[in-house]
Amino acid sequence: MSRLRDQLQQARRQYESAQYPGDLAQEMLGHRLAPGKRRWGWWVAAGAVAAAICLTLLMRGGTFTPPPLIQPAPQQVAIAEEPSTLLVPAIPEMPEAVAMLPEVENSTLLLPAAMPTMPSFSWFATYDDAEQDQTNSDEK
Amino acid sequence: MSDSRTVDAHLIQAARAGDRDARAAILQDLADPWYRTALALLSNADDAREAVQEAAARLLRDLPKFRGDSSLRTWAIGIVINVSREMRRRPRRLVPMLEQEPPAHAPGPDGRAEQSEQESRLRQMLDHLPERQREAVLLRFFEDMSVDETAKAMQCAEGTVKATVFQALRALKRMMEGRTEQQSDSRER
Repeated sequence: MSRLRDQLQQARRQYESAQYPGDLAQEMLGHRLAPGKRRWGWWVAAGAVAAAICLTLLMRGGTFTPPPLIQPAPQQVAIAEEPSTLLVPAIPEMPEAVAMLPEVENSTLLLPAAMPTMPSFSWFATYDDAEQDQTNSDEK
Repeated sequence: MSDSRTVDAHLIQAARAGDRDARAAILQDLADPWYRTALALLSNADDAREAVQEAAARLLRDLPKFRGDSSLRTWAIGIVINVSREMRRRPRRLVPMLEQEPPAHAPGPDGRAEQSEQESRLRQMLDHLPERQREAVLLRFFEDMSVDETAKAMQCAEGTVKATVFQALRALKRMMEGRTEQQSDSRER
């Protein structure tokens, strides 16, 4: 059987060397596929599938561990040693003798003596009278 | 498998929608496997080319009917097998392979003798196999199809494929043994 297998392998090599003598797409569709586009569909779709698989794996993984952020090491600043006693200045005290509110002797409100009066618009009446006179003279 | 089917689905969808690039890409990818299959089944370069064009026309016509039960390639190989069967049944094409001119891709006469002696012998033996056995051997051993894919391409049951392949290999072995005996007899004389 191994001899048969060898011969099948040889025949297969010859079989695989056969190529269609022409451009089938051009013959059937009158449309030549640009060399760069020949496998665009396969590549685009394969990329989409790969992305979907990666996304699924990430989602199934549960937790997404981002790469560790590089944090700057805390800098140690040399601080000059000083005496630890805190010197607080004296708090000014409110004098007790001073009153917080001014004393009002008379509690009545300080109002002006007289309310301001509205100005009289006498020119309104003058204008109406003149208009009436004009109308009467026209009718006459 | 599922990935390739997804890729198939994208291309088929685009081709159905009338995308000329998608249709051209499908035909471009199938041209060589179609031609190899047809050439092996018909043993004639012109017939094989005609079969490929007919298969391409049927694929474009039947693409809306494709249900995706198998991969696009398996379905397409099934189409070219059907076309080749029909062409083989035409009486005018029943010409033995030995009487035909070598195909255009065959190597030149200088390097051909040693290389193709065994290959052509096997191809002659394949030519003598019944149609179904030849198809089964071709798809299983040359196209590397699984039993399932071969069954779908040949439109038969998986058990039939297994039995057909077994019968074909047994027949090929007998033919080889017979030829070996003939050769040794002729040498002794």
